[in-house]
Amino acid sequence: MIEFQHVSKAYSHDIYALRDVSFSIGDGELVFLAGPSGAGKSTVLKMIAGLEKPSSGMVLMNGQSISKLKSSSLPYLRRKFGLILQGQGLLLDRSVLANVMLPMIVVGESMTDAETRAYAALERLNIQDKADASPLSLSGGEQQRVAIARAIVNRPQIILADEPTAYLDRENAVIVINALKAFQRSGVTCIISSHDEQFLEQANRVIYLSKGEVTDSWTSALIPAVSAAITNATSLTSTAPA
Amino acid sequence: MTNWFRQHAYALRAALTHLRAAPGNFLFNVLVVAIALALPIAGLTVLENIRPVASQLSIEPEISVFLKPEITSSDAAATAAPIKNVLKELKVSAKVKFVPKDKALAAMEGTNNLAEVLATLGGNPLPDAYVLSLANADSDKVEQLTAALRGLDSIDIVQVDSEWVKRLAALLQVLQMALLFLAGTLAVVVIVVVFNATRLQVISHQAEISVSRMLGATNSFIHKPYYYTGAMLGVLAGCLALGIVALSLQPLNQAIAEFAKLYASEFHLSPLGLLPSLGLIVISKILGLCGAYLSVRRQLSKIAQ
Repeated sequence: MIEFQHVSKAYSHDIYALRDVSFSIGDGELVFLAGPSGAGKSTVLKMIAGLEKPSSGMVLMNGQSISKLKSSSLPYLRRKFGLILQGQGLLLDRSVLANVMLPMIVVGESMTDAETRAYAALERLNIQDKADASPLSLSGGEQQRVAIARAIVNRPQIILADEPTAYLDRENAVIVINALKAFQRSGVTCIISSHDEQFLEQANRVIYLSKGEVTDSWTSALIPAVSAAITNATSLTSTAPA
Repeated sequence: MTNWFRQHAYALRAALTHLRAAPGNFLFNVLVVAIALALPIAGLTVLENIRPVASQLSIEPEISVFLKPEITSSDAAATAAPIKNVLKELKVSAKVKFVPKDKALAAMEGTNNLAEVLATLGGNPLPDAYVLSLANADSDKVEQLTAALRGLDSIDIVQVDSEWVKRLAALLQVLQMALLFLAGTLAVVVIVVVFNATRLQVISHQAEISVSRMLGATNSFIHKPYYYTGAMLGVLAGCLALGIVALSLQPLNQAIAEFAKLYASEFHLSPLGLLPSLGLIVISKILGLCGAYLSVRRQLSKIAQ
């Protein structure tokens, strides 16, 4: 269970990335953080991963304050997460397989085990034939799938995905979202930030952020209607005369 | 325990991978550190070679008293009494050792390739002699004693032997201090070189460090490859410095041999023994580790947790 209790994040006196944000996410949920660019979605994910600390309020994981953890405890917290970052964060000086093995090596698994599980993760995302390739030789969609493979290889409790479908065509975006849904069905909590409304229907819940504040939160029953309304509103705005 | 070994094995592999990526930089740093280490190692080598020679020489004042050549053996032996009287009068305590001329000749024939020279002389040119080893005599007392001994009938030459030995001992002390100072200064240079090399490495691996941290890597996991690199740099530079010094001894020894021949001696400089060499390699490794440790601590604190 992830809880945000009146969390604010200020970068200076009047620039707020988040303002009094409160919500909770239960185990095994697939939650979309929706909203326009600059709404604070990435900041929420970074706070959950302990990469940023709130200026005020508390971020709790299973009742334990993440923001109050010592820096020496943060690595052990992060091992519970599978992080999929914007821009993938793949290391370009090593092979796809070596990138996917990294989370296993970090926790001290043997090279043989790490290799076996990394292959399995790549197979699950149907990209095992690229194991020996350099990430530079892959398409955007393939790189994103490698990033997902790296996020799941350690069997995380929670997957945090920051704009996983950004810069992907529809076909690759569907593959990525389906993969994340498959993990959620196996009991993994998935928190996905996206400004792409076309996939909101896949979520159990949508938390809508705007200008650093939670403006709405919908559960699965309401999502199709809201998603359609947002898509219509977006298309109207984009076709409206200037 | 297995986990600990795995982490170290991975760190070593990562360090070697970093080196393979930029071997030129690493080798250049090894060379710079080796040159810095070679200077104090060369000084230590010279000191270690001179020290045994100096320690065999007595630093206490020693006076050689050569008797007149025409003195007979029995008169020579009887001269001990007046010598002891002079010592008693001047209140100087000393060991008095009689060196008969036959014994002196035999000793000379056995050393320093002088046998041939002595053989050409046909007889024994050496006089009987006494060697006085003085205990705690100051230079005034030594002067008084020398003058008094010269006044004895049977004595031909009185020679004070210890002054140059004292000067050599003092010079060795000064050299030792200078070497310590040089070693201290160059140790700082080595640490600074390794610090800078590690700093550049950390900067070039910033992306890898950030990703590793996000994946749950501990600081220890991230630091280890840099410690290995620093240690490897230290060990290789230490070995290279010992090699440079050993090689430079070859031409130096040729010159020393020529010089020593003039004094009928066979002195030459030897490289450091196995244990001192291993000790220096360990010190060099520790310096490499120190440089890497300080640099990694400083650089990684700048990269967000």
